[in-house]
Amino acid sequence: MYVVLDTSVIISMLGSGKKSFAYDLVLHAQKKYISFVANAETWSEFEEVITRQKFQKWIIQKNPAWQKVLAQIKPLVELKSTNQKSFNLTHPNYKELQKRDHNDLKFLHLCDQEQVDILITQDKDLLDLRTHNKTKILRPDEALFLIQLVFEKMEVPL
Amino acid sequence: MTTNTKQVLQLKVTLENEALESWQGLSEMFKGANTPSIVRMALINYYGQLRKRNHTSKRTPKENIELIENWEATGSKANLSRLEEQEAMSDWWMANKDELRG
Repeated sequence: MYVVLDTSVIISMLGSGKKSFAYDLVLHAQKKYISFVANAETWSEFEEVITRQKFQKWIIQKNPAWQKVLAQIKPLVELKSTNQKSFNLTHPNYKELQKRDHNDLKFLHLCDQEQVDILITQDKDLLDLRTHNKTKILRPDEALFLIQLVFEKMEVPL
Repeated sequence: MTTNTKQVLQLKVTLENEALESWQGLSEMFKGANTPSIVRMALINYYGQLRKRNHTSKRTPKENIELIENWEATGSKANLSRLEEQEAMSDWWMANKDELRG
């Protein structure tokens, strides 16, 4: 199952350490239930954010050991190349997001490009879209429910 | 996408449809199955979200009682705390994302 984590979720994983729903997704990726996918555009946003002074001040209070969590996440992220031709820019979601926050468009691009199953986010502009083509847009706890239900309770082999 | 992944996704859709139609049906599914509390908690939460998002109907009083009983039975205070933290994180992100992304 292909999963995209937007920047808000990766930041949440780093800040909350092992307590958060977001971090539980890391454990599922380690079990190969899900695969995290990103591209240069989405990953570079995350890398820029963690250099910001605001992030640095916040993270030192939330989880001083955040770099250890990042070291766990990085090997689980599969970086894909970007293919501009696959985007259907006439989709209503693109128009809506263009109005609300055009910086989030890259996550929809990635979902379209890689036929992603779930976009996991804590960003309300994205969550309000609910779905995008075949991609479900869910919060970490919602995504966790689906993943656990399908892979653990239903015992469906991979 | 592998055949197995397709099957998994199909199951997921089936489960979501059931969640929309019947809380009782999903409760039955987990009865006596030693379901991890996180799954039960997420089920309750997700079910509520689905209803809220789809505006199909409100919970009945009986469903509310079941919801509370389930929360208590599964010791979900820790999960409640995690949900609150998730919500706080979401608020922090929305308040700061423009500055963080530059």
